[in-house]
Amino acid sequence: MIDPKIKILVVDDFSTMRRIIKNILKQLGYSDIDEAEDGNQALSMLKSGKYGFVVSDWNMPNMTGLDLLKAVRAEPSIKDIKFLMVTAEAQTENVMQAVQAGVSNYIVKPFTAETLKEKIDKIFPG
Amino acid sequence: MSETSANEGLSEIIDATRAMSEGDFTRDINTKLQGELGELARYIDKTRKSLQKLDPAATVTTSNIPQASSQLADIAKATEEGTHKVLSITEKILDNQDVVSNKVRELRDITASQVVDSARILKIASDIDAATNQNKDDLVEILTSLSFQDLTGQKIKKIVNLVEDVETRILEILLSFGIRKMEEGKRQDMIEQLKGVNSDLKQNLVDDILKNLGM
Repeated sequence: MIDPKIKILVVDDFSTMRRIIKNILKQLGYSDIDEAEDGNQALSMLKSGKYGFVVSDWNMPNMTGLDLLKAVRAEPSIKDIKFLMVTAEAQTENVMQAVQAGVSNYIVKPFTAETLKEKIDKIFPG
Repeated sequence: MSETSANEGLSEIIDATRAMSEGDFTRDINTKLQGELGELARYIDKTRKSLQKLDPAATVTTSNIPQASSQLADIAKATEEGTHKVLSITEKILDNQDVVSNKVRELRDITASQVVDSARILKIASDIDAATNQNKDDLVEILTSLSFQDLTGQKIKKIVNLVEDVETRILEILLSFGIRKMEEGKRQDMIEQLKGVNSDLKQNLVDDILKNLGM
């Protein structure tokens, strides 16, 4: 469990998915949650806001979740933000690419609320 | 592969056909046209494989164009199953709501009777607690079950792109048939035009070409 006041950004081009993840996060006790439908939008929001955690899809138009992750890790002001990838991509090479790019954890869709809680607890232990 | 090579292949086929109608059966038909169609088939196969990555359990057939329709059948199935799952959970929740209503009614009756049976009241309270906690869990399960819409939506996007690309490529092949005698520049203009217009105008352009081919 992390500081429940932590600012979270949910990134997915599907509005339904953003809503589902936001609701589950609320159930887990987090209330400061913003949304972005696009990697580019997410990147500018992250640069100007005080976010501690990003939950992002991989397959998005304009900028993929992987490219967003790389951009975040390359930007000094936000490079240490915890980044959780939530995606339908389940091939080994995808997971490896994400890990090499510095992902904090990786969830495959469809997922359960328990899995999400488990992975978040692993990212923010204690 | 460009429309130029498809164009050359088609020119040769048309010349060979004309020769045959004049009794000359010695012409070879260039198989370059096969290349254009072969590339189309390869493209469809590539899309099929990437769709399959999204859902390894999806039905796979060996034919090419019907890939889109088998994927669509899978999507229809997934949305039906997803909806049934949500409906089942909703039914459970409604039943639990009845349990809670009954327990609340019991509490009201006990209070009205003014016979304070603490043990019974505590039991009713804990039953209500259990029912509402179960409902909370079930509601969260509905949330996660609804994620089927995201997965089917992504598949649909890929199929839409496939269909649009196939449309464009077929139009390009048609153009090769219909305007092989035009200069390169004019042919390019036609292709750009077709890519840019909406589907109604596209159909008019295509109808013109078909008319010129005598169809």
